[in-house]
Amino acid sequence: MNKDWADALFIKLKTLQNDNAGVIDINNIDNIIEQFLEILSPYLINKQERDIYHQIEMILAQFTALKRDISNISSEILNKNFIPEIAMDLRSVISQTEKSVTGILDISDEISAICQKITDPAIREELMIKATRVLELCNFQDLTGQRIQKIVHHLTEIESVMYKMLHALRPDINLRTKHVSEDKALLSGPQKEDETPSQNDIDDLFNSL
Amino acid sequence: MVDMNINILIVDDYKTMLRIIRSLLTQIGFNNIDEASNGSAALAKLKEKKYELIISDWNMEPMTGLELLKNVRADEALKTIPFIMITAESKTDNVIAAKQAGVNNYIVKPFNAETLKAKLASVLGAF
Repeated sequence: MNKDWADALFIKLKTLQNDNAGVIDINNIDNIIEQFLEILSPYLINKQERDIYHQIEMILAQFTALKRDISNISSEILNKNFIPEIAMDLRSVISQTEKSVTGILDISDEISAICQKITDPAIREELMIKATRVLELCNFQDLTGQRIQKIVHHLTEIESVMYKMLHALRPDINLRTKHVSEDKALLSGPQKEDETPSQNDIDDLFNSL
Repeated sequence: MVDMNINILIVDDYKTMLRIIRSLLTQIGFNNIDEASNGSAALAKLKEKKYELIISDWNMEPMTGLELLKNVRADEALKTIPFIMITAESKTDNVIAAKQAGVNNYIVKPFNAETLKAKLASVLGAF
């Protein structure tokens, strides 16, 4: 280790320790890294060291740009309820489809009741099969509902991470605090259609256990 | 022959799914069907009335179908009640966990009347 730059870094660290009781503010981290880089700059000897130095400089530039972008966002925009509003819209899709499906199920039940009055057994049987098929197809409401709930859950998680990051970089803004509930470990909701096993696959697995 | 007068408890947090299962069971010929919207509500009903079959969804709050199943199997008075899981949770881990907890059969959503009837027959006996 080169003693000159090691000494210079040590002095810088001591200064930081004395400033602000040794607490480093995330908003000041780019300035501190910049100062460290300035100290190291004259001591870079080979290409490998210069490459690493250059990469750190680039990361620092990206971080500084990100900070600048975030600081340009107004508190009004930050506090707009984008994600909760999307979640609300998605939930209304669930309730609206539920309402429609309830209507379809009512009609299916009425058809089943009418079937009982039909004297021709072949026609009665055919109509009953159709009414049952309508019932079966209404499964979609439960599955789409669960898929939408899954999206809402992920959106809420993204929102939580985003708010934590914004809070760290913009402590001046009073952001709404969010609570994300723990998910049940095994639950993942419906799988993608092409990944969902058939009932036969499930039966084979179930019977093999 | 299956006794069509048995008391059946169906558990799901989606009203439409409860309705679909109830309608299919009614078409098969069962008449005594009660509903609960989650595991906790189901457990309360199970303490009040004698049921001969439970058909439950898995993914519900505050108590899931798997938790309900474990509670049922841990209760001396309830542990022999046949339990069918009807769920969209179709991963291998889910089926293993349900089987280990003592489920009698497992139906993956979306399901049809034929599947439901076949699973009921495997649990209750031939129709």
